[in-house]
Amino acid sequence: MTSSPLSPKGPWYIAFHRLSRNVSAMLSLCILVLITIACLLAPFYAHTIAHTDPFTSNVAGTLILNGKKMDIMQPNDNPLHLGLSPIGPTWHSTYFLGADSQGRDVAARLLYGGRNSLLISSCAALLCLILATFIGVTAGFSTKIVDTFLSRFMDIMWAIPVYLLAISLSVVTVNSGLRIGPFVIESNNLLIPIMIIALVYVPYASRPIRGRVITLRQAEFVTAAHCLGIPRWRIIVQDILPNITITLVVLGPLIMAMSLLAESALSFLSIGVQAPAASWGTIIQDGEGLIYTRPMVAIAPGLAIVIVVLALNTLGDALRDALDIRETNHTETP
Amino acid sequence: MPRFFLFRFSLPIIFILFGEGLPFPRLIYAQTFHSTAKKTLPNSHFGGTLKVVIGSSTGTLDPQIAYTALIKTIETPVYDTLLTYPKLSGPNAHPVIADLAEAVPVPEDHGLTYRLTLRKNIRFSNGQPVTVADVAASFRRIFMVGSPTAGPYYSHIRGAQACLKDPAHCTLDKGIETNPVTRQITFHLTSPDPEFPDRLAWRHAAILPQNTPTHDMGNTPIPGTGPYLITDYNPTTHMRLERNPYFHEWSRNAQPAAYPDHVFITFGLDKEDEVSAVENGQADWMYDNVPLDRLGEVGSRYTKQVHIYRLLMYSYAMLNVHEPPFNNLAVRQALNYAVNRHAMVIYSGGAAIATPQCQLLPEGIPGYEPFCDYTLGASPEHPARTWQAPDMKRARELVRASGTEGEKVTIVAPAEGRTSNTAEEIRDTLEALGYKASVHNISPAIQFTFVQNTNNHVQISLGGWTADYPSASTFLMTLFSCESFRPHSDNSPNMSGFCSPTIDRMMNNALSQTLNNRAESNRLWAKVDRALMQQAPAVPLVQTRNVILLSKRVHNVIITLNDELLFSQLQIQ
Repeated sequence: MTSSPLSPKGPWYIAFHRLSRNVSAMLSLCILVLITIACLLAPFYAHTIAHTDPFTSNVAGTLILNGKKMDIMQPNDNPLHLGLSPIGPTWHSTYFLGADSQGRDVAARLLYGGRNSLLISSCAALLCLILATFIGVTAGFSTKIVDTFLSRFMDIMWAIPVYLLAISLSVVTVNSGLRIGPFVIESNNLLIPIMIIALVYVPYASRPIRGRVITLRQAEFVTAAHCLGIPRWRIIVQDILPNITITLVVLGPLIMAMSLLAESALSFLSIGVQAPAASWGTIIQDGEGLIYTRPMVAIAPGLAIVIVVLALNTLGDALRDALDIRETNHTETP
Repeated sequence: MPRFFLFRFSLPIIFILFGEGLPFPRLIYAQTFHSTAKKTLPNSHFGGTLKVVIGSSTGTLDPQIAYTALIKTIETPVYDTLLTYPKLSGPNAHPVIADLAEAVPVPEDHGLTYRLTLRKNIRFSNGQPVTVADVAASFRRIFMVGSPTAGPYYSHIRGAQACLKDPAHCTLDKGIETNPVTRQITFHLTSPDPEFPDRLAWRHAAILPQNTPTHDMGNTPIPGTGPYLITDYNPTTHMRLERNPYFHEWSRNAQPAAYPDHVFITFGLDKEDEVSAVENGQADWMYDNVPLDRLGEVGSRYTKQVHIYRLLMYSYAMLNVHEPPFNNLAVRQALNYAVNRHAMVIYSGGAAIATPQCQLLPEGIPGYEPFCDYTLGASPEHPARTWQAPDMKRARELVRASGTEGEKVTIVAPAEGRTSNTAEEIRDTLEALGYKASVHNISPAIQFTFVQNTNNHVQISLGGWTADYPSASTFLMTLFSCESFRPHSDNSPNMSGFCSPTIDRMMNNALSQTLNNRAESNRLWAKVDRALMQQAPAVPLVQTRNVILLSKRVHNVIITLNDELLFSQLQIQ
């Protein structure tokens, strides 16, 4: 059965239509999809194309390039024979972007690192939004005392610089992991950076959600639901949550971008993803000591971070523009 | 600084009125010295300010407490000991020679008595003459301030045990006799210590004024007898050394006169910035090693300004013989077979800077005889001369025989670039041997004490050991004797917890021969080295060399085995 041509188009359809006409948004989406696919194919690239193990040191190893055997760590050309440098970009299937200070394939690590960075940032954003929604809805839809308590608590958290808080929490957990009752999370488990990053960004997301819930609480359809004696939990589930979805959708990419930056910073400081696992932050740290001789080791993950963050921010802005129709027309879903 | 200039030019007379409390007019004396010294060494270039850059300071200046290479280097031309190592390059840098004493003592009474005579006419930088009372007070102070080597190095002095138990009431009255008239100092020992002359040359035995407070002086410099005195020190920013106005050269080999008038040390620079500062002529000497990524650059463009010298040090992975799986000899031997020392050399900067280390004595130490038990084609019964390649097959066999495959192993390493790479390499090796290995990087500031304490149950730790003085005992006895293993203590340098009464006897035997038959002593130390490696309480990794960079205007570089670079001998042109 086909829909009638005269039937009104839904707000989501309009938003999607607007979004699809936004060239920069579509470009950003394509870039994100491509990067995600490339990162998901990391094991295939490492084992089938590059024939390398990106997690094992290989400083004493060799590679065949154009039929010629070469050391991965190459002696510097100087009369004193001082120092060795990892091989630079070969632009071939193996060691495409060169090697790091432990003789590992930077391109393969970049893809594996991307998996971790994207996984942590997306999961952290999701967890952050879930927590922020819970707090925002509870604060916005509860009594004044609860609202005041939660809001002031969020204000206190907001007052602490995000990175300072994240570093403090990471330093505590990086050595001995996290123990929650009977559950122990090892220090090298990705859940730790996910939880820490999600936690530090909760105040940033909960405040706009709370504001939106307070607005919705005063809306006529909510008042009507109250008058009809509908339980509060049902009002929240059926009336409030669907109407804050727009806020969450707009916040999602932005929080993910911030989470990616936070994850990279923590990993750069050795308190995020733990070796030998990689993330873009840890690869930049690996490249720090090679910045004069093999800058590609630091530049490649840095560039990846810039591109993904830029794409996420562009997409977030485009989503906000596309979904503005629901805000301006006040067509809340009753 | 402004106050310094104000007084320097306007109020020299205040110095006469208030004495040594004011550091500024010392420059006047420096000028006097300058002209005197020129007469003694006509072909040399005196004067100028030596500008040094260092990553960070390392705490207290107190010469009887500080136990870091940096402070040792800085204070070599500031303080003197009764004996010292010759300030000469090459093999002539040991054994000890007389410094503040007139001659090296001959042991008497079967090694229980040492008599020395203090030189005449030596003054501290505050003008106070050096007396035998200062010498006795300095040795008492070693115990009263809790010097880290009070127990290990000076416990043979009669009365030292009481001083160790009750430092506040330390007298050493039976251990040190002094005669102000003859300037004679007599040390009485409870048992022979063949290395006692070396202990007298060790920097914690620096001679200080007898009225020096008996607590850690921290950032306050104590007057010394060397050619420099520290006039200004802020551990976060800088240090300034100027000429000691009362110094005169009594022995060129023991404490030579300094060339630069002033030395200004800047702290807090990143190593990369230190290299750039020297390259650009903004500094004359970077104390720290040239970072790995700049080695190629300095090796090609600043060849004449680079100096490479061997250190009496090597890096190792210490295996705790009380913690599984390393409580099993086969596992310890397996790891020694499996470690790729070629990779370790690469991590250290290549063959020009590092050599594979197979044994527990480094090259350059008396008693060093090269051998390698754990390499491809060798065994403890049939050692090779040098390391060839890892023997993974043999290593896996040993691990299989031990039945420890699959056990968890945590490597504790200082969170520092090169060592972190080494730790990752060893982690990979352990994984390849079938263990579940992980690396625990902790702050270098606490790593050393952390790994010493048995309460922390460290299985394997990474580190490096430098000789206090050129002697096999500073490696083998300090790191592997039963005496240096102190359970539940942060001060237990025997980090592997290895204790073998048989090997201890061999060590004592080697030590006892030091004074009478040095060749025999060296032969016995080499035997101890081999016996220890058969038990594999550690995995020696590499012996490294230091790479330092000096500016174009610096000449007369003298590097000794014990004191490294003698910056007082650098001439600035």
